[in-house]
Amino acid sequence: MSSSSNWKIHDLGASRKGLHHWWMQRITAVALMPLSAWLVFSLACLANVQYETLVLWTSDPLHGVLLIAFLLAAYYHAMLGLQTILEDYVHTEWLRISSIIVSNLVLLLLLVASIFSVLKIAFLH
Amino acid sequence: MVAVSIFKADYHIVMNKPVRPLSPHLQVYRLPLTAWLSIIHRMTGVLLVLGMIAFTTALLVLANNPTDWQIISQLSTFSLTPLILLPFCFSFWLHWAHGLRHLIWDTGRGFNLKNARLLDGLEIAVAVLLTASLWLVHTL
Repeated sequence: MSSSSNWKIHDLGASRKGLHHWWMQRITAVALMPLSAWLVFSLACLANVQYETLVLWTSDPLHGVLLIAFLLAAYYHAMLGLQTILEDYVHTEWLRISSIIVSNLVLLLLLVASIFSVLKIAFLH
Repeated sequence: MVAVSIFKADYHIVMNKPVRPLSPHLQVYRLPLTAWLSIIHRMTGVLLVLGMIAFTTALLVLANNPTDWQIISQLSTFSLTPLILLPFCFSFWLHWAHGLRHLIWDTGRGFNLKNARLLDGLEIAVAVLLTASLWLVHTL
């Protein structure tokens, strides 16, 4: 695929955001490759630890920053992915548009709740 | 002879609608492994969203309700937990490996049949190996 053919997508789609969607899905994917691998291996190591150890681990600045970076990339990636699936399979227009809005808002709320929790653990311990 | 030709004409009409020949559909077409992995990529993606909801729930409890954390930590002693967690981990690594393949595809490489089949096997092998190593790290 040549780069010039990618740029043609820029003006396509109802919101003319086709290229931005495609591009952000790739950027978040690249970020999630190391971040998600780091997280699942960390969680595997932390599976049997006590509450205090878990809180201490999360409040470490490096872990906190990487955790928030992961959460931002993962929820953004999930928003784009779920939107693509809804665009493909929900054929009634009003239902498609409203389900995309609801899915994006719910995921945004979950993202804010997650970041709030990480910050609360980091600053209270 | 006339009666036969009328019968033939009726044969193509069911419920007053003409029956037209249809091209082969998904149910008669044997999908290649690459296509299955593509469908599975979407399914694992949705599954991972459920995982994110569970992760956020755990973070909220960890931050706001230390006493309730006991309930979540007790889930790890539950005998059914590995039965859910192991397929979930495999789903995660499959999505991860197929995502990596998409990034390779985005550079314009790996589209011919030989390389596509090679990448099919490679991404499944990577997912199996990483799931196994994750389980090994967990049990150490």
